[in-house]
Formats: sequence, C-alpha cells, structure tokens
Amino acid sequence: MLTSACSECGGVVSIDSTKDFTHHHCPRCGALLYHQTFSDNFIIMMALTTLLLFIPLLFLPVLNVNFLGFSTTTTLPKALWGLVNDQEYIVAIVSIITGLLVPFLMIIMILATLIAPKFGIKRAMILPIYRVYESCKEWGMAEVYLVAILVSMIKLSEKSILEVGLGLYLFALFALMFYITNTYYNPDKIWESYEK
Amino acid sequence: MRSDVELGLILCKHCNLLNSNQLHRCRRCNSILEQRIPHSMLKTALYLFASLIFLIPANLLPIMVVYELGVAKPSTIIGGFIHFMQSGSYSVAIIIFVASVLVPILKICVVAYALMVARFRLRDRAMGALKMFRVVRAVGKWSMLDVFVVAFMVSMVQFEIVSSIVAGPAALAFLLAVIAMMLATKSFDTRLMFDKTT
Ligand SMILES: [Zn+2]
Repeated sequence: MLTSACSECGGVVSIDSTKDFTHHHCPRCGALLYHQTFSDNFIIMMALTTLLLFIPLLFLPVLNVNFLGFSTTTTLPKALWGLVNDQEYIVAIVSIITGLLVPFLMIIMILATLIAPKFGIKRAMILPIYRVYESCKEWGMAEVYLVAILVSMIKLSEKSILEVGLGLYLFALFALMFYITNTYYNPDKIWESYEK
Repeated sequence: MRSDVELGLILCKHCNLLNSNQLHRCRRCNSILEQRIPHSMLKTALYLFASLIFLIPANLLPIMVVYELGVAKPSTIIGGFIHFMQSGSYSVAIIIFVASVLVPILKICVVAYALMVARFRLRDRAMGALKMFRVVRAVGKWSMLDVFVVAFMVSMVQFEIVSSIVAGPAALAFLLAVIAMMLATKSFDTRLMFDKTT
C-alpha cells in the first residue's frame, strides 16, 4: 500500500500498488493519480522515431499554393516565422517557440530523463531537466499547429490551387507521435527507480 | 476523506511523494515543498482580468488584412465565422465559432466561478467547479488555432500586387489573451476549493 495525496482535491488516499491497475484515480474527484504505461524502452523508441521525423520537417515543403500563376512553397519553420516580415515579432517568436522549438526540446528532454538512469547518472542531474520539461509541457503545440494548417488549406482552396508537400504528411505523423509519446511518458518510474 | 493539510502532510508537486509538513524540501527529490501554489487566487484573478481585457481588441480589431489588387479587406474573427456560414462550410464555421468566440468566453466564466468557489469556501460546489475547470485546462492551447492560422496564411499568400495578406492587430491581442488564460489556469490551485476553513 502506498499513501499519496490527490494533486487536484488534496484528499489523502492509499494506492494499492500491488494490484495490477493500469490507472489509479482519486476516489473523490477522479483525478489520475498513478498510471502504469509501456516500458521505458518503448517510450525511448517512440521518442527517437518522433525525433527522426522532426529533422526532415525543417527542410521539406509543406504546401505549395498556386494563385493565378503565382506560386509560393513553404516549409514549416518558414511558415511559423512568416509574421516577422509584418513586424509582428511577438507573434512570430511565440509561434516558432510553441509550434516547433518546445515540441523538439520536449522530445529531447524525455529522451534525456529516460536514457540517463541507464548509465547510472544521479537524480540530481536529471531533476533539473524534468522540471524544465514539466514547465514547458503546456506550451508544446505541434498538434494545434497541424490543425491550423488544415484550416488554412480550406480557406486557401477557395481561390487557389493547393499542392500538398511531403512535409505535411511527415508533420501529421510527427504531431501524432509527439502526442502519444507525451501521453505515455511516465515520470513516476524515474522516482521509483531512485528508491531501490 | 481527510486532506493533506489536516494530516500535516505536503505533496511534492514534482515527484508526488507525501512529506511531513515539518520538512521544507522533499526527502526524495529535494524540491522545495509548498502546501498550495503561493498567491494562487490573486495570480489567477490577475491573469484572468488580463485575458478579458485582451479579448476585446482581439474580437473587434481585424485579425488579418487581405489585399487584392491594392484593395484592403480587413477581416475580424466574427467576420470569418459569418463568411463560412454564408458560403456553406458549416463545419469550418462551427470550428471557428467554438474555438475563437465561445471557448474564450466560457473559459473566463468557468475560471471566475472556480475562483469564487475557492474564495468563499463553497465546498459543496467544488466538485462541479473542478470538472468544468478540467475541461477548460484541457482545451487551453487549442485557442492558439486562430493565431497559427493567421501566421500560416500570411506566409503563404504573398503574390505581390495581385494578392497578399498582412496580420492585423487582433492577432497579437488574441495571442496575449490565450497566453494570459493559460497562465490563469496554471496558477489556480484546485485544492483550494476543497480546503476547509481553519
Ligand atoms: Zn482528488
């Protein structure tokens, strides 16, 4: 038996960790207290795949728009950074950070916190990385940006001819993998491994 | 069910270990322990107010300006919704309306309500408020959709004199409103709604 407190309602609860629960919820408010997920190695594999998808994303064309003979092709970083030409610096900076930079760093940090213990690195070294991951979790918005591209395509298709690039398919896959990796990444295991 | 405060315990927000409230640092991960988020209600109220203020220019000013053969056509968020309704793309219109108009208003109401429950210790309302608050927290970042759409459209539509798009002042206002709202939900400690008066 493990005594813990609910982070959402403050109630003190006991978790029967011997039972084979995959998810343990707070009996009062239903908050998720503990979940067992895939093995670390599986998450590492997922994170590495996500990372591999990220690299070509920086160079591959996402979309080509043809409007009365004029055409533009864009890559993901170019599109996010686009507003800088309009002197909308704040919007441009926030877009590039939330759409691309934070998702990338989050994957790197997941990998670091999972791989480091395998080499016997002390918890004091990993903790700062995990804290940064925790604080930027909400700001990784790859999936929101993906939907934004799709909405833009519907808007653009009214007047121009669109040609979807390989970058868009890769980005869709990246957003999906990014979401799955973050959902199943379970830091509790990091703490557990220190207790042994 | 008894709370951590009543039992003299503090939950470490990083590693979820229960510590005695005599300790200042978590005995497992050495993080600084805090019973509740410091100045939670004040911070939430301030961010909420900021978000409300930014939402006004975000909805009223043009979010982007489309230039076609030198003629400027400013478009507002509400205008985009009306456009898609008229052209028959109801699904897109509904997405825009829900994401940019309905959700921000609902979010502000829910967080304000949760804040009231915590401030006036309306403990029997806490469960309902928490459930709504969770939804608000979960959809938080999806409000960035409009800003991203504008950013993408601006970078795609640059066809010299024939057609080009420039971002409007509402893009920045909307971005700030979304960020303020996300900070408001992040600052709010939902446990305050369940705490008993001491
Ligand atoms: Zn609870």
